Amino acid sequence: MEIWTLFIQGINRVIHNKKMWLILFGFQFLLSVILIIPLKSQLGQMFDHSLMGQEILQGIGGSAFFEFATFHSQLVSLELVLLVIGGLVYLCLSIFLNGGILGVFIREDESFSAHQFFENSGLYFCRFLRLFVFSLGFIVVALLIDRGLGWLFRWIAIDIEPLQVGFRILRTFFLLFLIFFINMVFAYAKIRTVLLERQDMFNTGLRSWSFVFQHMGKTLGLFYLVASLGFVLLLIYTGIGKLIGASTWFGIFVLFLWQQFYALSRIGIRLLFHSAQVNFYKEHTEPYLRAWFKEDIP
Amino acid sequence: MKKCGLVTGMILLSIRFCWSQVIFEKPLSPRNANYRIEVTLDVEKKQIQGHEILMWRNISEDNVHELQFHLYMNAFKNNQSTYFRERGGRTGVLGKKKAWGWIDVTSISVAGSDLTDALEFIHPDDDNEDDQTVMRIPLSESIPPGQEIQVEVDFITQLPYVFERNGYYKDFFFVAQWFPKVGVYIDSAWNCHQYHAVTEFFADYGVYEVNITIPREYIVGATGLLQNTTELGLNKIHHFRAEDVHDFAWTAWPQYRTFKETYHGIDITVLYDEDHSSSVRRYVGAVKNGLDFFSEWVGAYPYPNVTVVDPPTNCMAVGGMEYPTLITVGSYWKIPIGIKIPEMVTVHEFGHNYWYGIVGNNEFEEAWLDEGITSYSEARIMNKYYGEETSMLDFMGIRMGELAYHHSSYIRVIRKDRILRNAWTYIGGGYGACSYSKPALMLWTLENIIGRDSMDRIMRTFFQRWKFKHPHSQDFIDIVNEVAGEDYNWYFDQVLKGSNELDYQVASVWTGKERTPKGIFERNDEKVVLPGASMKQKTDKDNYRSVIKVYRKGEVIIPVDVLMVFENGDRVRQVWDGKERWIKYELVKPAKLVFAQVDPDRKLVLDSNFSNNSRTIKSRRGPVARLCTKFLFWFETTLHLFSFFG
Repeated sequence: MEIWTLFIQGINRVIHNKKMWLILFGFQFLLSVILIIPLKSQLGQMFDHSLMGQEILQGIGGSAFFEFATFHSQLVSLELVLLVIGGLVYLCLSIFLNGGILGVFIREDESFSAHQFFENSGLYFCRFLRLFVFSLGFIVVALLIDRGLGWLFRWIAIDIEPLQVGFRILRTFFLLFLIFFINMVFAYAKIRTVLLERQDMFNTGLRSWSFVFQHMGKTLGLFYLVASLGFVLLLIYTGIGKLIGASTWFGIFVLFLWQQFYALSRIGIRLLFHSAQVNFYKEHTEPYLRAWFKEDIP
Repeated sequence: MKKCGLVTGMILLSIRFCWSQVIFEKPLSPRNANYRIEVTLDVEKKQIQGHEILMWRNISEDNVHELQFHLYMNAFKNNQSTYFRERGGRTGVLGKKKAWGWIDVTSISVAGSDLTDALEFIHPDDDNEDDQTVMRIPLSESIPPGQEIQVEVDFITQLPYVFERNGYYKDFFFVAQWFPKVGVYIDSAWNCHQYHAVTEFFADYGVYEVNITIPREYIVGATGLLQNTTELGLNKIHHFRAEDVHDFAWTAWPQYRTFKETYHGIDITVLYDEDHSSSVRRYVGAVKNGLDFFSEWVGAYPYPNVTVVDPPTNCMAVGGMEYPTLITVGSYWKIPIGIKIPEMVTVHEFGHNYWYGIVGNNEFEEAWLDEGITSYSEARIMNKYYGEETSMLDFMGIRMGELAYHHSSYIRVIRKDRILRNAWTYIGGGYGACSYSKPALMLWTLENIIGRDSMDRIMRTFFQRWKFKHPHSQDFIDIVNEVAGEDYNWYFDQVLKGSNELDYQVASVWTGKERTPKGIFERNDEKVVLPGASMKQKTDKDNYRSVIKVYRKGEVIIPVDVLMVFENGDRVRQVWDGKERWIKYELVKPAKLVFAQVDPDRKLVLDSNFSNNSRTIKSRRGPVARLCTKFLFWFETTLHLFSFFG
């Protein structure tokens, strides 16, 4: 099936599962609100009754920012630590929820059930965690390749600044390409795990590499098609965001809504990746592999 | 043949020295330390061979029994020098590449007497026996007041790998603090400090005649004016002359591009890396702004030229430094116009030609006199020509002016140290803020207190009175007192010589309806009973009592304005002397108080905390809501990025 058709199908499946979408958004929003509580309290103490707040509203507040960061340096450090911890917690949560997400998209005939969703999340969590650890090895390899490229580029462009800048851009894009590629491979590994009830994650991971290389053009095409939609949404968000003057309560409210709308759409893109990739994988493996592994499926 | 060539060369050199074009008809400075230096650069060994003739005149009232010289380059000789010890032994690239720098005096004679064997290293600052940055030559006969002596020195200087404003990188050379430089005999003693991790320099004024012999393909820039260039085989000899300066630096690189322009009679030369060509106009624009501003503000730039050196890629260690008539700047390929680093650095380093170059303070002992005053000058110029809110940065929606920059630097070290102390004795990390930002804010605050016109007269008087001399901090303070017509020692005692904090705070505000009389009162010798107004009664004459408490959190006492604003538009401004720890204002007005603000015009830019300078009756949650909205989104974005890897 053409990747465009898979893409559209994916969008339909995501829209069809709005409850799941909102659950994911809810987790992200809730965790972010928890992280912001200590910050809000101190910001309030410093600026709620200060005219410097006017500078903040007008977007000037340079001194305000530095004063806050200096006089509350411990809080800022704490927030950074909390952010990292929160990020790791959210990472684990995402690994957990991926099982539920894939379960929903694979069992397309069933209507969404929160119970089923979380049951699948729990069922596949350990396996996905092992896949995550396995993928880290490849990420490290990607970082080493990046470091090697950095050394090479420095050697080539050692005294030529335009080349240095060009190489740095190239290197950044290449590293992102590698990381996206690894992410895509392991996304198919997760799909294979759920679809074919695989237990051996090492084998599953390697087979996913094989799968992607066999269908390199289409897998990459589908991935970047979805990513392009994400990029377009980012442009729209940024463009319209600049027009929102957040110096009044109404403006702040509109800004908040617009930001959350974008955060929601970002999660939708994440779901679209899963949905489209599930469709693609099913199109290219399901019929004969289900027969092949019939005895293996518990 | 070789000998003939050498003799010919020496004859030519002698003729060249005689034919130097005098720059100033009359000396601008005492010219008590005049140098003639012949130097050959060995581009392979990265070494300089030099022959120096110093004519030193004793301008003191004392008989001088010895000479002391700076040998700055020895700071980079090994990791036991005072310089590296103060850096915690971290030798950086010098240690990694083993490309140390040093200077050896191979011979020295004074008035014809060879005193090489009498040479000894001394350590006036720290008793570090391994430090060789100060050399002492005891004299067999003392030098009486007014007498001039000739000192001849042969030396070899090994340039380090580009490091701390000096050195080489492949075929690029920046040569500073490279020759034996005589110290300053002042206040009946030699003032000749060792080279420390954060100190700069101090020397007497004179005439410099320098012949630089270097392979012909090199483009050379230096302090002063190029007099002539002579071919000598595969080399060229560049003859420079600088008058009424106290230092001489030079640079050479075959790949320099050159840009020249004359502005109001001053020749501006930019030696730059081709990759930074987009910054050349920015450098020149900044120099022109500096020339215009300083000329109008304190006095005309006396020299005929200024050279701007833009270091090539990988040589930024030599950037951002000042030498008489030569400054080093810095940029990057296609640096956006909103990032004002090229302008800021150029303006700052050019400003040093006034404060350090012409007004020659002791940078070891009173670094703020050049760094602080230059930072203040830089703020004036950048704000005037590049906008107060955008003078440092205006890029991708982020704006920053000089005030925010200096304030943010200063508030990190508020009570750490005082401004006035020997530069190498600042507590760790204190040099930058205490020499640059805090003095700049101190002068800015002073300007706001006494008015810009008075401040301008102070700066002009200071410049005119102390140009080509060596002022102390008290000399500046005396001029402030003289020009302002008032004693401002109280100000400098607190902020220059003390490490106390300046912080005023509106601690609390309250406003409420004034109670109408209720109870028994004596009126016209009679007792009357007043019922008071009922809660439901409304009159046109409701008054409100407002109570405002202002607190002096810091120890610095400066009179400050307190502004109180009411709902009906009334504004009450009072002046508080700040002597007590707090003051309370009680006002009865027909309207409620809206807010109170201390220092409403933000005159006291030294105040460490602007956000507590005001207090509103009603909380205004909008700003925090806006900030929290943004932070919430950033947190969501960060979490989303984490989830990508899952």
